[in-house]
Amino acid sequence: MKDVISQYFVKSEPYYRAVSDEAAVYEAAYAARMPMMLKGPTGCGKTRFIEYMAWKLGRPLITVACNEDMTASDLVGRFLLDAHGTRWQDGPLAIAARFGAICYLDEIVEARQDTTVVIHPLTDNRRALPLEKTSELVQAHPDFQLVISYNPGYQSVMKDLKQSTKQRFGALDFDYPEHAIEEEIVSHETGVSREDAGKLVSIAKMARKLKGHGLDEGISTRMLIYAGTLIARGVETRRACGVALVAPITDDPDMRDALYAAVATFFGKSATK
Amino acid sequence: MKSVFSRISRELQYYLGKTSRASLVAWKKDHPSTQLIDVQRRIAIYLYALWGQDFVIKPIDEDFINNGKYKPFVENSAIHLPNYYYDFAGASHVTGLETYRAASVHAAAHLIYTKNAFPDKALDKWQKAVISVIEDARVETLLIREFPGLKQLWSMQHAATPSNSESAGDYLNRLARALLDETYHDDDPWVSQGRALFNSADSLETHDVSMRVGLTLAHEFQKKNIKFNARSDRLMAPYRDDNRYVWEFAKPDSSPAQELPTSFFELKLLMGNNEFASADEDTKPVSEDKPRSQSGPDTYSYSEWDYRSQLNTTSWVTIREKKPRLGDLEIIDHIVAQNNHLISRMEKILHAIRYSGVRRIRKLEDGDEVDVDAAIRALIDLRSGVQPDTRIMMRSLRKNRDISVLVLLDLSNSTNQKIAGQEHTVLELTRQICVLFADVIEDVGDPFAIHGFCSRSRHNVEYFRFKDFDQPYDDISKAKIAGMTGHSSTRMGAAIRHAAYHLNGQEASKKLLMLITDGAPSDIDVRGKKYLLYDAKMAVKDAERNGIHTHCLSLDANADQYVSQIFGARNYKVVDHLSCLPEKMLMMYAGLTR
Repeated sequence: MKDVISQYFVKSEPYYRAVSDEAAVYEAAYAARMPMMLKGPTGCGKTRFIEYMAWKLGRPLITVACNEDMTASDLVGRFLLDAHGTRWQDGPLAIAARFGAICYLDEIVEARQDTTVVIHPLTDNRRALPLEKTSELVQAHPDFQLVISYNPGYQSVMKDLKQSTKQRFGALDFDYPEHAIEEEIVSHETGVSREDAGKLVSIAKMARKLKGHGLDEGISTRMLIYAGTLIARGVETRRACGVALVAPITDDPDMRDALYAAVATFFGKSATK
Repeated sequence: MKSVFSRISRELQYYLGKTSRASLVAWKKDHPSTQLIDVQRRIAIYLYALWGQDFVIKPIDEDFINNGKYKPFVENSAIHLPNYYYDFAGASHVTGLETYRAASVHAAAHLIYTKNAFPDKALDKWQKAVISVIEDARVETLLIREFPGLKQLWSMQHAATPSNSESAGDYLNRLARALLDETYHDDDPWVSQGRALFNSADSLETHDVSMRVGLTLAHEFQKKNIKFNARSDRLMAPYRDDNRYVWEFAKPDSSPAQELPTSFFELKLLMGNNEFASADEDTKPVSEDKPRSQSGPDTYSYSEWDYRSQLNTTSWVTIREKKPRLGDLEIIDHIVAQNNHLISRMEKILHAIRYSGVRRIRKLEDGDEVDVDAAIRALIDLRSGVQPDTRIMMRSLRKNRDISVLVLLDLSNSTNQKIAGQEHTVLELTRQICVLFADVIEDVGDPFAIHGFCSRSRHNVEYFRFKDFDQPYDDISKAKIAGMTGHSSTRMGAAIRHAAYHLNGQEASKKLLMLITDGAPSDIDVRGKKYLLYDAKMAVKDAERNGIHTHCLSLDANADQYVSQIFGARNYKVVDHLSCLPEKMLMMYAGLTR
């Protein structure tokens, strides 16, 4: 049974550039096994951070990407049929609770509110997961911790967490890093020069100002890394920016044009659009 | 006869030889050009991306400017751009859009970096021209430090070469190019000196540099012995503005005709009261299901609730439907243009919470189809010897969006006051909300109406129907919204009852009455606020009983008390600024669909 969990260990150190004291705060929270919530726009490094912390703390990490069709049994577990009758299959949450993993529920708001309620008993001092189908009460392993991520964007006005869920977590705010740090990240992740990385970051900075003014979300660090990767692989700079930065985020022709102009502002007049 | 022919043939020659004015115009028509109206939005977005702030971009009124000679300018912190730019093939092919972009960024650079204007006194025209060139170079250099790519954008617009050496203007153009583009080679001592002086300036942050370098260069130029002609020696780069912003002019001649921007909301009535109105179908008779005892074609009577006696006083208030005046359509277009981003945000929200589509209702004993998940679960339960859940069917429900909205505007006299801490009046804000709302709902496709009211005693509550459910949201409706004015008082209850009467005629399953108001109900023939307040509350209750959801957008930040009394604690939102409208509207709609 032990090898169920071994696959969840993070094998090698993920690259993570600390922006401020988030690692220290998280370690303290983990020491207290406090449930944590990572907030921030998409592509700013929430998932990378939790991978890095799991590696640093030497704990397995079980990630669940939440979606609207997810039911409580997708988290907790369900009976399956086999040749001899039925067999109970633990869900990711139950596995994490049994073996002391960090359970990371990505984009928790996408799950329905009644689904998220199943995490409640694990996130207060009970630290237990009742499996009603098997009449079992799983006491959480001492190393178990629950982490959720949450993008406080627009769509969440309609899909929000219940207050009773929110108030069980400590929250770390994430945002796109400062210019120099982001430049360092992009350069490190992609291998492009610091100068090009700086230009990419400047383009993103311009696009982020447009959030709410026609763009739903600014250009994320992840997109910059995509752009940088293309550049490092020999794609012409402006073309790479078009493919990785401009085309994905908007279909509005005026907005596209302005973004292409932003690219040209740093990389020169564009020949290819 | 012969002379006629020869004249015609001569004119034909002129025309085909592109020497006549008419042929030039015709030729230019076919020449590729970019119109401001097509690119205004993308330029605005670009500027916003650069600085994170909005700049006002306006077209130059062409009537004032000679053909082809118009230059961009900055005035009243608005950027004025020509109506069109031609593509031109200089050193590289420059599209009109690029020229627009270069011009707007350059003008915005002035707005950002030219903090104080130069005093106009004691300088001759030549000195001013040189100083302007240096100042242009200064703001561009500052901006290029931040956004290096702009250098290319600007420098491809300069076409001056060392071979241009006839007029003072040629030298100005060469200087301008030399200061911007260090790859440009120019051996002229004056130009080189300008370059050296400019580059050796220790700080470009203040405009003193421009003054100092400019004066030195202007003096040096006298050695060349070339006369300066302010009329012909101009900067040729099409994106450069005329630098009126840089100079502090005495302002006697600022023509009022150009003063479009700030006073935009002042009403410009197109027509008088009665003209035009008879042309549209507002006067059509209202359906038979009228409230009781009407005494004229557009007159209705309603009861009112008296809280002291706890009785309805029947036929107490008279509502007269009046024809709204028509106003200037430009006001509406201006609001839409100014708030494009809000509108797109609101549309997105509305689409997002549009609950049309298929919804599955699971866990039914008798449904239309088997829910496979539930069936398997039941089978598993059976095999494992547990009592299975028998509700294994589901049903698909097709939900359609079915809402009628009536926006009711309070047009009392108090709406003419300014909102605390803001520049515009309540009426302007009301109109803006109204326009944004109409624009968005029109796009989503819900039937909606926009009505307004004001009152002078119980005998005369005036009611205006700016747009009705069955009317298109066209120019006439817009003109009516533009033409609304605020006067008299607010007899809210009667207006709500009448609006409810109009809404009742709708067949939608959900009906929303949205009241936009700035104050508590009041009227000239009622003392104290309680009576009308309780009456309004009763009117809301009555509407609720008829399946009409009433919601209030209060523009009065201190309105909480009485608004919540009338509409209920959850049914009002305070909107004191346009920018918070989308979220509030979302909450309101979400509340309705709950």
